[in-house]
Amino acid sequence: MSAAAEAHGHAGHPPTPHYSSRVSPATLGILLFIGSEIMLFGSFFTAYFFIRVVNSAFWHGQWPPSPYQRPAFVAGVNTLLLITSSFSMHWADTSIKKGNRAGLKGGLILTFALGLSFLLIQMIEYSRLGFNTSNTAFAATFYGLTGLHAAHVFVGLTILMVMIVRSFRGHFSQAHHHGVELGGIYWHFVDVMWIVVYFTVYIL
Amino acid sequence: MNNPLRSERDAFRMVLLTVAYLGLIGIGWRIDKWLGAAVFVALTAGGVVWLLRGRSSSRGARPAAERRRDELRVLVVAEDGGSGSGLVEVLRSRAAGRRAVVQVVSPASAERLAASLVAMRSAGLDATGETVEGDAGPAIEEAVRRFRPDELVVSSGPARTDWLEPGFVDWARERFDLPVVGVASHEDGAA
Repeated sequence: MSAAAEAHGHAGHPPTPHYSSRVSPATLGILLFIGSEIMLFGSFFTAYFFIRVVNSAFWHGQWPPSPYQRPAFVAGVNTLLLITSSFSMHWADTSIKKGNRAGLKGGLILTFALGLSFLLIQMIEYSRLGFNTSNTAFAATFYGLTGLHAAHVFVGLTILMVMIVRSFRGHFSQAHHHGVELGGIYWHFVDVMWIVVYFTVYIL
Repeated sequence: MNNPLRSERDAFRMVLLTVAYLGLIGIGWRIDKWLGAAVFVALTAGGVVWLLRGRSSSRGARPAAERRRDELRVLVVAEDGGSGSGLVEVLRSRAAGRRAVVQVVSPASAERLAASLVAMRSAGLDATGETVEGDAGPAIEEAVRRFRPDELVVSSGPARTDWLEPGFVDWARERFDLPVVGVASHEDGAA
């Protein structure tokens, strides 16, 4: 043990950290992370709308430009899958707050399955679209936005997998479930972003 | 303004609000683009007004001038739901014959909180309560803003969690211009 630790009277364990804010470091961390994500998505949305508006006359006001078609129906099904996954995530979080570990496990597994289905459907749809990123500015921004989101779903699935493993190892309880709380916030954020992407890219 | 991503429940609510917001705009857009734009403006303006009203109003709060002189408003921050022995005695002692209006905020389960409220009411306290999620600091700041207490009582009981960080009582004394009392009801009733 160092002399400094002895001087502070913390024999055997480090001193208690002092926070200037009552927001825990973990929560503050994920909020900062989500803030940076919003800025990242914002830059992609800016590029999308810029290209759409600037080239409007060139494409005679048609969006998407001919002959491209947006798979709105399949994307709509995917949207329903992700919204449903938010409900199952909320179920998992509510369950562990009531001490129901079976509900936590069921909710997390269902959320993972729905997220994985979303990702697989999107990959299949990509393979059937008939255009790729190098075709036009529309195609580039389309793949850019939806691909960026898909990458976030992949990260979310990874977090969910860790949460599932931890839940089966009994790491979460009614009193200690911060890991579920933070993972849930991230998953809902990914869902919100998809709803915005779907509305912007497929509906408008 | 509340942080919409403070807890999982808040984030889930954000998902539902986003669905409703963009869904209505999308329906309007499908009917007519100008209708979609109008719905967008109306909903956005309504949302801004709602947020501003939420910031200025303080639900359940009464200005100090309107309060009864024989009333003491106590906000109890109860890590364990307020079920520990000694808390009720401390509250009655603080009231010193005045009518004690108690608001309990706790991360404990609703059932546990309800049982504590029953015990407080049976002891003659005018007690209400709510369960809170997320970090203790923002939740308590919000409760103080709404309830406008005269005193703050921080209760930690046998079922200690990591919700209240060490040094929380000292932080509360610095943060709020209120008397703050720490109660460790599992040890000797009051500290």
